[in-house]
Amino acid sequence: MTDHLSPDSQRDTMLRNMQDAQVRLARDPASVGAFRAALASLIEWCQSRDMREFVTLLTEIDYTVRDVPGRASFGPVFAATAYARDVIGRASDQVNATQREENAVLWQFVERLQEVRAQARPSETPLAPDLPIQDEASAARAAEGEDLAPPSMDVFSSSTASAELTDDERELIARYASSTLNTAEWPAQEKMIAPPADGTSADLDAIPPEIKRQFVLETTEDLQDLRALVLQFDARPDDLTPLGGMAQIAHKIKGTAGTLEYDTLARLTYVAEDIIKSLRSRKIPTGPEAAGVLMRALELLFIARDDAAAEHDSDPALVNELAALHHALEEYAASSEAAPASRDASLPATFSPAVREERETTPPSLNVESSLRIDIRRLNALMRSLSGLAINRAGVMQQRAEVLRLQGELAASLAHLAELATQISDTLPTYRNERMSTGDWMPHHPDVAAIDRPGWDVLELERYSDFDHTVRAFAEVVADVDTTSRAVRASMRHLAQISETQASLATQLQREVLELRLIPLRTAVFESLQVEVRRMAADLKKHITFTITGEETQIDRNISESLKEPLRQLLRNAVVHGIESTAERLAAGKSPTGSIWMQATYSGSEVVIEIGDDGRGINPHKLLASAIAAGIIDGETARNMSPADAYDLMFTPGVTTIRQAEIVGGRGIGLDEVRTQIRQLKGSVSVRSEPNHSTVFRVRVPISLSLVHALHVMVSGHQFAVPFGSVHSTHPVSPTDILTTIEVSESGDKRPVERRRMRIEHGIVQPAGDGFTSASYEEIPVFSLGELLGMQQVVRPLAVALVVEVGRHRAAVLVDEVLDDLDLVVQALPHHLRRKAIRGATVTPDGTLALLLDLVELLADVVERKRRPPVARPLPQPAAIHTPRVLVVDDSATLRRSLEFPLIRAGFAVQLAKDGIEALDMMLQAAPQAVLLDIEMPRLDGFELLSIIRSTPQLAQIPVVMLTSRAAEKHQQYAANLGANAYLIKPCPFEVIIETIHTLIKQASVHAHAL
Amino acid sequence: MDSAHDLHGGLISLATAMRLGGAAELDHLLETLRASRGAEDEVATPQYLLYSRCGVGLAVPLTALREVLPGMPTTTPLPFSPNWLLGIFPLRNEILGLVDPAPVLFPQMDVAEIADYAVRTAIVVGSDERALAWAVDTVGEIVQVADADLAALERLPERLRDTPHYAIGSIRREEPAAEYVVLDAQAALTGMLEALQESDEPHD
Repeated sequence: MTDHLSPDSQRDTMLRNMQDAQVRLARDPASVGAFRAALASLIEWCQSRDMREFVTLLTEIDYTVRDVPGRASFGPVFAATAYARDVIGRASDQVNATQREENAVLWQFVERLQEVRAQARPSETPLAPDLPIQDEASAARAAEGEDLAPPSMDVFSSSTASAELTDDERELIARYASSTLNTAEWPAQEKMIAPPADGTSADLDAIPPEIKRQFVLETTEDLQDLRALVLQFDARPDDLTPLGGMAQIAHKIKGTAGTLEYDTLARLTYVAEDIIKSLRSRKIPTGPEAAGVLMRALELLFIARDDAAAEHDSDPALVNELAALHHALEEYAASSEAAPASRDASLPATFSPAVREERETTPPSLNVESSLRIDIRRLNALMRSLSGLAINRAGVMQQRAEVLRLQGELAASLAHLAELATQISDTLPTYRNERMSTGDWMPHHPDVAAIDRPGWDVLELERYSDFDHTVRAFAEVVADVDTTSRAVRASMRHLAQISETQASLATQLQREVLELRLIPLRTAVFESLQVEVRRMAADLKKHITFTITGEETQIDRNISESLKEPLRQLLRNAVVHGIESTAERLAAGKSPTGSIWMQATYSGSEVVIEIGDDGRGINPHKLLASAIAAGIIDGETARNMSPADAYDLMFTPGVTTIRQAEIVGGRGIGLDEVRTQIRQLKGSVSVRSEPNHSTVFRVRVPISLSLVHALHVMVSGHQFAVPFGSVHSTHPVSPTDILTTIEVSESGDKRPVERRRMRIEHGIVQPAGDGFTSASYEEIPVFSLGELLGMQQVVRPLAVALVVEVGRHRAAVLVDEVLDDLDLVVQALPHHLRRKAIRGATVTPDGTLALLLDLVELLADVVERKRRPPVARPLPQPAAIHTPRVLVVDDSATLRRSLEFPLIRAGFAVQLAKDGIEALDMMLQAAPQAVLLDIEMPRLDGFELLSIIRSTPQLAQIPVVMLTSRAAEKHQQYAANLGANAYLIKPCPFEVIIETIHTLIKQASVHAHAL
Repeated sequence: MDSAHDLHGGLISLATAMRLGGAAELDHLLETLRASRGAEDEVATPQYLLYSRCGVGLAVPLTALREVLPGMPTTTPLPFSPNWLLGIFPLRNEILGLVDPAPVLFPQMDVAEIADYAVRTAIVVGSDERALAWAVDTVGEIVQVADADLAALERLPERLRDTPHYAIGSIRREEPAAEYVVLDAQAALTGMLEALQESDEPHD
């Protein structure tokens, strides 16, 4: 607001605002917000001019007026404010000189304000000043290692301290030093009018919880950015560029933290800012020591962030720790200047490894689902897709309107046709009679007959009768209908194209929305792991380079949160157990610096993360020995295991190659837990190694649990989806490929069970016959998918085997058919419908709901744990679901349509036929449970059809309800004689029709049971 | 008057009547709604949907009813579930389970007996994630019955003898004469949901 003013003008404006706010506050304690806002502006101004002591003083004023409600603090606060205003008002560019002279007085005010706050809150100790005193006395004390406390009151009388004070100020300060000021003792210009009694300043200071929460989220992101800069600085200490960004972030956090009453966080950031400034100004040399302190600062800030998330301020000891580190760093710098040869390359001794909480995840008090930061570019892309969808939708609506219009035209034409048909019917007998009686083709129309056309050949002139007119009109309408029909077809084609575009846009939009949840692994996981590795290496005094590639690989936010711990364990394993000590490495002829690398890549719908090291590798024989010792495998099994199988044993609980004493910090390798955690993410982990050379862990997790690339399969008429990545290979199989034996069950009741296996050699399924002589095949167990799901499945002669890896085993799952592979959106099932090995459900392209299966989980029980598959039972059919089918026969399309929906609503399946021939054809293919039959129809009328029905054995018992406009008794009797079960006259209420059909079907059913 | 409750009940009634296609029913409902609008000071009269299953007339309060489906939905079987879960199906943006409440309400009936009663449609009971579609034989009218007019059951239907706790009253109709057992729908629904949640069957 004041940026356009000169520096002096800015200062003066702020000071005037400060005074105005002070006056208002004195009148009305409720206006404390405005006072604090004016203070904040002045603080910022002082910060920009490095007037740090005044920043401190003004901050203390702010805290006091905030913490001590009402007028209890006004005396010292206004005195300090008046002092600050006055001195700042006289300040020039010679800031440092001014500061030095005013220090003593200033710190008196600071101490006084702290005292006022302590009296108001006796349980809290006054906060210590966070800056070293710069006057000579305190500097001398600091040099001797004494406590950095403000000077005593004696300094107050120093002539240098008061040299430039006015008489009024001296008087004011003297009064301040001797007693508590009240409004009556203030100088004239400060005399205030008594404010109203009901001060409610506390409410104005109440900060909405939502603001605090948002601050924590923003601070988390800021700290992540800060971490990236710290890592950048650590990698290249001579490049000071990151320091600028660090300073900005620290400054930002400090300001908001202070406003929101997170004092420790604000002070912590203040100290961190100080350290950064010292580095920028070269007061502290850059290097690993400084980077270490910055990393520690980062950790402390994360701790303070967590406390803020828990809505309480942090332990002030955090500030003391960081201030001590800063001080130690300065001493270290000073000692290294004095004696470079003695410089110790290790971190300052005050760097305490004890307090090392890993706090870099989102604090648990914040629900990770509650909010999401979205890259504006993704949002823009989403908006573009939405726009495309909206535009396309407009096209759909337009075409729809056009089709409706044409449909209206068609209906009008058809109505006209119906009228003409009636006219033809009425005039035809007359026309025939005339033709037959006269044999005369002369015009009948009297008007035409009266025309006198001499010389004209009568035969050349068209003569029109009423019939002729009607027929011509009929032909015209038929042509109209044809034209309209063609237009409708064209519109429908256009509509189909637009619908296809709509579907494509919708799919794209769907994908983009799902991608909103994706974040790069760099910010989600990798940066925090970098810090972890660095620290572990420093602790163990190992020299390790840690490189990361593919850090921009995107992954679902929730998966990334859950991935941190298992990756952390794997990296810890690499640092602690993988990389050798420097001496070991040199003895082995390796470089003294070990190498750990982490790489992330996409593989279909999965992310593959590899963690490798060039350390001592894994000895498979030791693993086998450990597994034998733990009783997990016997010697015979061990002898037959390949190195890959042996490595997989690492993920089995109880198997280790590490002596207990070597386990760092009480934490074991925990690889079994790593595998469990990754499996919970629907992923997998494996390891390969070369003893004495390298070890690589490979982790596979889905990019998103919401969008899955899956195989769409069919089993017993039901559709299922299987994640593409979980299927190793697919093979068509026939019965000759399956080896079936009867064996005794290994568990439970020992009853014989059927075991099926198939042989695979070089990726090809081999016949199961005895003539197979090759020794290089793999025999794997075979299960039908229905068997695994506890559903009856008739395995077809030609099936498809899906080969799945389950731990170190493989198994084949038989399905009827693999339809295709699709990208599917997975919907979670409600809690009461969740089942093991079922990840969710998805709607397939034909609109059917298909279950997404976890084959690994399905097979784990039967393959790894040797349990029997569940007892198969018939697919749950709704035993009593019976949808009777009604055949509606009527030549009126309108009537057929009008009956269809009410019958469906009443629970019937409905078939429609336009005449007797079509109806008979349908009935012979599949007999309905009832027929609703018109009488007057072309080709085969109702009576004729009824007669045929009753004379056809397989149709004779079907209930027939006549529905006709012929109400005469003779028609009803005739129908009854032919065997009609009911006779309804149009128009007939739907309820009556439905009830009649219900009754007749039930009677027929009872009769059928009786037979 | 709880206007929100009244509106909800009214809308349910309207939707159900439209599905059932009864113009008389619709007129009756509209008249009821118009009348209830004017009775600002009156307590809303509870409304019940009458339906039947296995020949037993039942009633469910509209407050527990979400909607009446136009017919039996096409379902996908869900493995590791009890037989009375007929399958799952999509309903707009949700996945719902379709159950046959007969084995739960009438546990003494065997499968063959239940099979004699054809289900024709389904009603959705519950709200949000705690909802199930119940297969029913017929769906009848919607009636307003004040709490004071809710009759005590004179005689518990035989089929409910093992589950009397689900019956909380009865509604008697004159034309034709019939008695409908008012179900404690929430209790029945809760029982079904809990049974489904526990039914992830272990292997043998």
